Amino acid sequence: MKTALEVDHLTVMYDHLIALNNVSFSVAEGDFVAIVGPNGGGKSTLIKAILNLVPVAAGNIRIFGEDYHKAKGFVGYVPQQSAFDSQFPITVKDVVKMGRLPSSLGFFHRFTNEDEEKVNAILKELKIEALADRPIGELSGGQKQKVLLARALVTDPKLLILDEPTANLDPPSRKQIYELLQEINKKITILMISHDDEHLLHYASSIVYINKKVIYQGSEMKSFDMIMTTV
Amino acid sequence: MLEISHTALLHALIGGVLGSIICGIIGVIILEKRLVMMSGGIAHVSYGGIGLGIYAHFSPLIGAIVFALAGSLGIGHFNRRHGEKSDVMIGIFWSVSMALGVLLTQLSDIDVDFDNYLFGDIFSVSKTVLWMTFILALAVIFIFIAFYQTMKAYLFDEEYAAVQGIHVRTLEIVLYILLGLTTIVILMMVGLVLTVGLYAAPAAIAKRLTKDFKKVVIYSVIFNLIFVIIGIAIAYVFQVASGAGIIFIAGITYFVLTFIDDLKKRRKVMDAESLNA
Ligand SMILES: Nc1ncnc2c1ncn2[C@@H]1O[C@H](COP(=O)(O)OP(=O)(O)OP(=O)(O)O)[C@@H](O)[C@H]1O
Ligand SMILES: [Mg+2]
Repeated sequence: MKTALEVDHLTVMYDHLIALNNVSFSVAEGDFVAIVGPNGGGKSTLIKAILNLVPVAAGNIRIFGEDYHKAKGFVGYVPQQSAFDSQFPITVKDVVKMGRLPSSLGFFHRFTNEDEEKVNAILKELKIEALADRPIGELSGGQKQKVLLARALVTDPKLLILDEPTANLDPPSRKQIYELLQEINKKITILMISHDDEHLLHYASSIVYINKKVIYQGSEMKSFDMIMTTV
Repeated sequence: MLEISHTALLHALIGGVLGSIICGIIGVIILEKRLVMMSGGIAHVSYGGIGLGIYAHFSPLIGAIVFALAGSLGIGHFNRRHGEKSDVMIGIFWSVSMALGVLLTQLSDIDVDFDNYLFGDIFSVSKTVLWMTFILALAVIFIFIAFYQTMKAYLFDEEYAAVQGIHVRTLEIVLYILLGLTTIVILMMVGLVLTVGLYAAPAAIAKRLTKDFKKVVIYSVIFNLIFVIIGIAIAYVFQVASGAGIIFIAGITYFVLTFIDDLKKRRKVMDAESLNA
């Protein structure tokens, strides 16, 4: 089996604070890996390091054997909902279309018919085509989450990275997102941060428990309490 | 104020129209990136350059441009490095530069009319400023159209744009340079104290009227034009500072529209309640 993601002795620092200390783990192609751990444990930092958003103090990250610049076309990212401005005057369709922008300055960029078709297809797949022309600010939390998911999927990524996609959702929407991810996982490797203990144990194929360093990694599904008592 | 000549009025109108286009576009960007207060800061910083120019006998305009560019790039840098914590630093930085400007102006041997800098005097714009405004307007329009899609992505979700590999740092630097230069243009139209009003009011009004980014920009330019032309008319007829007239109209329109919006919302709620009853 191929390795989708390889994090090798990664250390990340913010000024003098060590956010991640010598973290190593890998994700095999096809896996559904959940990153768990306490608040401030460095989960979001780990994702930001993988996505080249924060500088790496030491260590190495490989995505399908390549560094981020070569591999970014394979990666889809669903940020925390608070990461974007939900009052921005933009429709659902345009948000998803943004996923297909080129990695450059996009000098006089125009979207093609293919972009358009791809966007429509993904909206349909996630069953949000009825929302296409609605401003993003008018959507519910669960709907917004699906839009962000669509934006990440519209480039056909091979690795999907999500930061707490179910935070602030009610239990039914939460379950819906997990079922959607399970479906997506048939084709795409998933790495996600979450605090939903019971869902993760059911849907994820393995978990990585992080508190500045890797405390536990494995596919033996233990609840967090058990992890805490065994280490 | 002295009698205003027809040439001065014509120059004011040309400057006003060009300036409105610039402010209308940049204003929307400033509003979305929450740089409203920062833009006010740049205006104050540039006063240091004006003072230096007056004191050292070189063009205050050049001084203002250099200080505004240094100010916007510098403040942008602080913002990125220190986030929220940069607030105090920026605040002190801009008042120090402003203080420097006042000190130097008062120490100089030239008698300066402060009012023109504080509240704007669009009737005394020089040909140089007009040309500068014209070139800046072309540059802003070109850059905005050429990088429309990536700029929009950057404004909506900067982090995601970076993840996609869009050159957000380049866009940001271009934006700060335009912001610095735009500040000088606004300074000339409405003056130091009123800058924030002209950036924010038309864009904020536009945003209330539509949820389509392209239309927000177009409306913002149109409102800018309306306010500036009415403001110029008021200043011309009543012989008052152009800035005061422009901002007064802009502010009143903003508050009236906000008030109408609130009324509409309240009526909707009342209708819903009466349906339930
Ligand atoms: N931009 C930053 N500058 C300085 N310190 C930061 C920054 N971002 C995060 N930190 C610090 O790094 C540590 C790890 O933060 P991180 O956001 O990665 O945690 P997390 O595991 O995602 O937490 P949560 O569950 O609350 O989302 C925390 O101590 C946090 O205060
Ligand atoms: Mg986090």
